[in-house]
Amino acid sequence: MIIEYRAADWDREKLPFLAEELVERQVDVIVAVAEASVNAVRSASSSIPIVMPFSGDPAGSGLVTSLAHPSGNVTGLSLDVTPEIGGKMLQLLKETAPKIRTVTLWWKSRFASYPEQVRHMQASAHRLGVRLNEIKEHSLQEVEAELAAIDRHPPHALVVMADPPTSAARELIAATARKHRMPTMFSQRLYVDAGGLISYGPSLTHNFRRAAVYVAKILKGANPADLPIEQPTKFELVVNLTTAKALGITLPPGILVRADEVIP
Amino acid sequence: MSLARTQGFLFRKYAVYFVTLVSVALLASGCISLYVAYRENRAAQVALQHEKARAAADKIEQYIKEIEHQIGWTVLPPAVSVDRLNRQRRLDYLKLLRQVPAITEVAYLDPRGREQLRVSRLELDVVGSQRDFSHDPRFTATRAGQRYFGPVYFRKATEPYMAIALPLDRGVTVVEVNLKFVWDVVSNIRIGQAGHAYVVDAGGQLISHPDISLVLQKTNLAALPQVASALQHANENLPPVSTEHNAIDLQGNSVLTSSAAIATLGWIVFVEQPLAEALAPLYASALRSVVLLLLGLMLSVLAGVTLARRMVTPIRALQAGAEKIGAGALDHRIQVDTGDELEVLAEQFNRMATQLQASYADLENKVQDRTQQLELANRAKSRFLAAASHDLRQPMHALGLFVGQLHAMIQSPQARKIVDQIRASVEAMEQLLNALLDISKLDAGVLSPQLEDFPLNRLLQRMETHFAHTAQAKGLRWRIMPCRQVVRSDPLLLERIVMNLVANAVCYTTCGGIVIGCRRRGAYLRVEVWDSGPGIPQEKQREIFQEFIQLNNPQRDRGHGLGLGLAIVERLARLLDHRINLVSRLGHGSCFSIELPVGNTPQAQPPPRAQTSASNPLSGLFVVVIDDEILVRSGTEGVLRGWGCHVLSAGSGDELLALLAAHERTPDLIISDYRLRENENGIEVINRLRTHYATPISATLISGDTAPERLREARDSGYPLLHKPVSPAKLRAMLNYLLSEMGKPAEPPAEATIQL
Repeated sequence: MIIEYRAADWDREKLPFLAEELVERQVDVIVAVAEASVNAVRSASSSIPIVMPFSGDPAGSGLVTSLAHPSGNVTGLSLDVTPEIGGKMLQLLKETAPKIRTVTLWWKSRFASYPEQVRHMQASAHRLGVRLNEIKEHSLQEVEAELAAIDRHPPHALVVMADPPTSAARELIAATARKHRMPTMFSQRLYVDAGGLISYGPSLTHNFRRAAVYVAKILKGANPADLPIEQPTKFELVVNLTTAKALGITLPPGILVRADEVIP
Repeated sequence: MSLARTQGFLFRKYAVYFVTLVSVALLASGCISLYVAYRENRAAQVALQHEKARAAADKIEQYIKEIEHQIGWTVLPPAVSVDRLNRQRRLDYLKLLRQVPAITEVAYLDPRGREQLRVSRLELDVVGSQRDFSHDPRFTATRAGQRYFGPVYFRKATEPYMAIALPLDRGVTVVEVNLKFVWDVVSNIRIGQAGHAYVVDAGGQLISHPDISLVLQKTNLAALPQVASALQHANENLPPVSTEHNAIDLQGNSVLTSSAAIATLGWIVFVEQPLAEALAPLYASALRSVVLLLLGLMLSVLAGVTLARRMVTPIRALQAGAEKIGAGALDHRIQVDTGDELEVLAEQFNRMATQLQASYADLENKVQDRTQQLELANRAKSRFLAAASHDLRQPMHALGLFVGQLHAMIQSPQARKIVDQIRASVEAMEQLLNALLDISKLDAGVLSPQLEDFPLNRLLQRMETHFAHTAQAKGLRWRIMPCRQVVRSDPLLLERIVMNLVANAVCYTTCGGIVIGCRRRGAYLRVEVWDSGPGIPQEKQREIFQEFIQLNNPQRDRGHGLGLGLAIVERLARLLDHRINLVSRLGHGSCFSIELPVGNTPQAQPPPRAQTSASNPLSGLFVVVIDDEILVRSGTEGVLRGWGCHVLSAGSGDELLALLAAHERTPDLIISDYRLRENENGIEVINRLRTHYATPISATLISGDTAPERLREARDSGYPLLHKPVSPAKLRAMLNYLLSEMGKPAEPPAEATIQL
């Protein structure tokens, strides 16, 4: 089996060409990671099976006719988790650092499921007794500008909904947060690995593993149109113990019991 | 019946018997083995399916039990404060979520059905919400200490969930479980290409199916026969049926299916495979069987034909042999070497043929014997006739000669009248003897007819001269129709036929008349002799042509002859190939007719026969007479001397030669009896004399013998033959003839030879 890797290096303009290239090579399956790349590959071929390890709202965006029966050449997994998870993230952050009053939410409507999650988060903020400020960055440069602003006027805590620009700046975000002894909550563990405090959300690793299962099924002859799009069932809570210590936070038993992974 | 058709039929029949027998056996065994294979294949498939279904059911059950077991760990000891209890319970629940990833939510309902705690992976954890679940089945169903398994529901269209409620800590612990695991278990079951598994709940509702959209559509399968049957068994706590024969899938296609119940949940796992696919190996083996069967059938046809041929061949040999034997080839033997009953049958046939042959040969011998006896009897009869006529002829011959002499001597008219009467009597006797002789001659077959064309009228004139006087003397009307026709026949033999017929007519008719006429019938001329005599009855009309048969003469008056007339007629007509017809009515008369072929007009009339003139050429001839009968010798000598001949007579050749030794003159004529004493015969004596004098002296034989062999010998010798009794006139005619032919090759006059 040959695996061809193609990456756009943050340049969306390249995606159509890369997709075309893969289609011309007549690959058997294309695994398209982000929503933009899925769209690019989909435009290039309507016959080569496409597996998405995660996607926001494939049914809503028209990539597939239904989750149970995609009916096209696209299948895979969805990140379209229950929107309540937004509130859950805030609750877990509050449980970890009960004293926080103001929280900055850093997100961009890059995934179809984010706005609803954010709405739930906003709705539960009042119940949890925190004030939520929102940052809506647009590019890598803006991320740095926002970080500078945070550096100037640090909030009590920071919640970041994962997306490529913040992901690229994750270490800087973690460093800035530590500098201001600011607890952080991310929707992906990637950030915690980079020094963030805590993350809660579907496991991308798990999704990639599941995506491999889809590829295997397709290579064995399954029709992508008949493979239902799975929703995330595994939500992982990852805590960085070092960061916690650095922030002077003692992790409560509820968090420790719950944590799927504690990074020492 | 056609032989070929019969043979073909037998062969076909045997061939068809063989082929049918073998085919039926093959078909039966083929069908049975196919049926057995079908049953075994189906049973094996069902067993396999059942294993898979059972394994899946066990896995699912185990899975659920494990969840139950994990929930069991959350039981807490009684605590002082509710608050602390809730804190402890929350930690336990969080642990439970860690332990069992499938559980998304755990909640605790207090004994009143109020929610005291809720821990969730996705939603906010809630403590003491006091939400009322007292009417919720999750609470009510567990009041009696029972577990509760809620209906399966779906989140976000693809995630199946189920609530499990357990009575714990005086309250109820409710968990929401993601059933994706069940889906994985079910999806992983693959049987063949299209075989799959699915799970239904106790109501027949589809819980899990590889095609999740079917589940989402809340498909109810209770209507499928196999599901209905399995549900019924599960409800009635009966052992589950392993298979359902008329199972169908959702599309209505026949499937082979098997099920296993998950007792704790009331669910049933079904494993099914399209019947066509499940039985595909069976079809392949069936195809093989059919091919083998066809091969077997072909072989059986070949074997059948061969066997039938082998069976039929000896039967045909038998048939052909029987036919040959039946057709008369009794020496034919049937060759069959089959070593069985057929060979025995053939041997019996052969034995039968042998017996037939033997009895046939026996029969032939008998026939031959009988024929020989008949021939002997016939010969004896001929011999008797010949002997009788010979012995009668001798004195008759002499008598005739003496009467002739006497007539010449007697001058007195009274005496001459008596001599004339004697002569008439002698002549009548002579006629009777001649008739006997004629029959003998005809039987001996020594007569060969000399056919010639001649006018019939001459013959009719002779009848006129011969019979007119007699008829008229009897007071009968006599008429002969003249005829100018020329016919082809032997004139002398024909004359004898007609003469006999007319003589009969004259003899037997007492009143009325006689008419002789001719009729032309195409290429034939019919000579008819009509009379008004007594007639001949129908049943006697064949009989009268036999010898010695005389009607109306029971006294056997010899004045009417011996009854040989018609016998001679019949024999002569046969010899000449003329047809004799008789039409007669009893009391009215008869008509005998004879059919003659019409001949060509002859070129010239044969010259009239030389008649003895008044002159006497015989006077002075030296005639020797040899006869062993002294009376005949002296009679002949007297007649010849009366004609002026010089006569020397002797009883044998030796005696004659002795007498001749005293004479210097060579005899001019030899008259010799044919049969002499001591086995000497006339031919030898004549030959001796001719040799003695080295001259072909003219000679004639006289014989009283009528035996056919004698006659043939005499004829073969070439010497003219006169039959006794010979009247002086006949003898004179012969001598005249010999005299005229002297020196020429002998050609005897016909009258003399035929003597008619």
